[in-house]
Amino acid sequence: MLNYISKKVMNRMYMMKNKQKMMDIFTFIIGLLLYIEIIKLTKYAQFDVLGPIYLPKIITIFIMILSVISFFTPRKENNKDEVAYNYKKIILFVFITIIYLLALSHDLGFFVCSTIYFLIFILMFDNYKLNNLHIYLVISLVVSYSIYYFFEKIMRYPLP
Amino acid sequence: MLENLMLGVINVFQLNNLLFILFGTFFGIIFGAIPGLTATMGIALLIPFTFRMNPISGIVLLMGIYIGGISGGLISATLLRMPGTPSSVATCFDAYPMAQKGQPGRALGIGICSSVFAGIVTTILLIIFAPPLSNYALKFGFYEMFSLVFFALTLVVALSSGRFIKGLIATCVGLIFSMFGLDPVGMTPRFTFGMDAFKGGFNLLPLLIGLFAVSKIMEEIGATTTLMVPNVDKKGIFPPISLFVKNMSTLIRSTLIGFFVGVLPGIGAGTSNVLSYGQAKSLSKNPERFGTGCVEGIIASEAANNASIAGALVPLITMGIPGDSVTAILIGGLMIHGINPGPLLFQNNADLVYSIFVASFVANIFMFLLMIFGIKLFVSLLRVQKKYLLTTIMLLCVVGAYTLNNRLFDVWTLLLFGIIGFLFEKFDYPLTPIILGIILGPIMEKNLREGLVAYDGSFLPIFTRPISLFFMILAFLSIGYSIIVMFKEKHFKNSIK
Repeated sequence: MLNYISKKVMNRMYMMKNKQKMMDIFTFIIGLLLYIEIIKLTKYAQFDVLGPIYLPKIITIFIMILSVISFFTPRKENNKDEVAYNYKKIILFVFITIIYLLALSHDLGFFVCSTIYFLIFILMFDNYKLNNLHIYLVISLVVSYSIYYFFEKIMRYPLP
Repeated sequence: MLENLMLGVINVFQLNNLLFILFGTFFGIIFGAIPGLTATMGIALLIPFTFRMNPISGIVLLMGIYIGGISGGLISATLLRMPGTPSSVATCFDAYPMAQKGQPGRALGIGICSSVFAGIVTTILLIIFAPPLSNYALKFGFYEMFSLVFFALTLVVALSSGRFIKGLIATCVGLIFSMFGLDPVGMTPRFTFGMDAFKGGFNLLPLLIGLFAVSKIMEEIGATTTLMVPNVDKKGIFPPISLFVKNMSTLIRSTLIGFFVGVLPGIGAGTSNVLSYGQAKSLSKNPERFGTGCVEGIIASEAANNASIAGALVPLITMGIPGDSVTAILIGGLMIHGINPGPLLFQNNADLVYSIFVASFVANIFMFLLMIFGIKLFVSLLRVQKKYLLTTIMLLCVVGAYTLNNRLFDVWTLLLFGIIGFLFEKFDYPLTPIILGIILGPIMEKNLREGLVAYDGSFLPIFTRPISLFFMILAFLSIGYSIIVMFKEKHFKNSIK
């Protein structure tokens, strides 16, 4: 599934004549969504000289206009940096971090969640080679416990 | 002033604070030296450790990281031709060729000595310039502050090195993110999307850690390069004084360029080292030697980047405007301790301000000693495997964001801004305008709206009050400059075609 999504994303990026345009569309959509959100507050605008929605409205419109200008600005494409870049790992990183945060929000405990997260993270770096799994497991336990001990016991910060 | 300076000396020369500066400088050099980690990331990461400290201890620790971080970039620039931080880009041009000629110790020594000279001289300049400037800034009203912030934002866009439109988009994105939550005048909740968590807006710290640390981790995960770290021969690490006497004009000029570039809001060591290198080359009698291991090249870059640190502290301390992305994070650190940087800082927290000055002085000396005597240790740290380093940093980011308010919303913010920062960097949008937009947005909006209330809804005083008019003229000049540069570039590209 993850492979499929990352392949799709990468293909899209390379197939587009100018991948920068994707980002322009993205910023335009962000601007539009925020504009729609801010105009819901029109009722508050009458109580103030400039009003709480005045500047946000101008800035969101500005984002949309600039995105359109950027979209139609011709650019020279430079793909050499992207060729050596592993987007699959980045998507996986975001994915496991989301799972980790969801686990933390369900009170599964910082130490356990962090140890597993650390282990998966290192394995991802090592291209999933399981040769040194026992070493990685020990390192994950030591680092997670050290952080837990330092913050929870010494600094007395409550951890999730 | 002398009284306050003595107070600063007393504060800083307490054993615990000296140890914090030493630790901060050491930690900063590591972050500066390892490509992919930056001074900005180091500060963002260590701010949570300062929550329980008193403000002076916290801020002197951060000063140590700042100075160590900017200086540490020299190591990887010299040995790997990879600038550890953007402030060492120009160092690669001559320090690396010198190292390749079998003189890595000499290249590092010249860089370290230039850095410490510039750091100490500009700290003195900071002590001289900051108090009168702060007194002057006390005269600023609502519209003066608004126009100053407006100018700072236009300047950072203008200097986005040929990315005018992208710089503008990044600034607007930063401004919009600063407007999430309660508005600064009427307390109307904005951009809440019907969720209570958004009513408080984004907390500055997780946002900064996300933008500067998590996005960097993502970048490093995707990178397929591996580092081959050479061994360092310390021979020549103490360059003769005659070498600096011979190049004194370059050293002083680069120090001044670095300082004054740092003073400009929004730009710092990342710009000054390249600018100073270009100046040194154009004014040199032997410009053809630049790029082949020339002493002047190393001095120009390293003196300028360290000089920018004190320069960037000038607008931060006197007006509450960050001089560069690192000082933007320092503002976050100060705010966490309930201190609002600005003209009143000298009146309300003089002990803190003068402690920053003295800490800057001490951190430069620590940096010199650590780098001269511990260079082999720092080089060996370049060999630490990134998988362990980045994973540990990621866990520290999560803990740092969570401990701020003990809520997971801040950790989600961290991830969100990590993704945003990564996308922006990958698509060549500058990150500094985003962060300046986030920090300056509320100041700009608050002053504009309160100014309108004070002047019966009239915008006219922006252009009739002299200080405000001065900054507006500068703002329009910087916009005009960017547009001219943009069209010139377009014309140049067309002529090539």
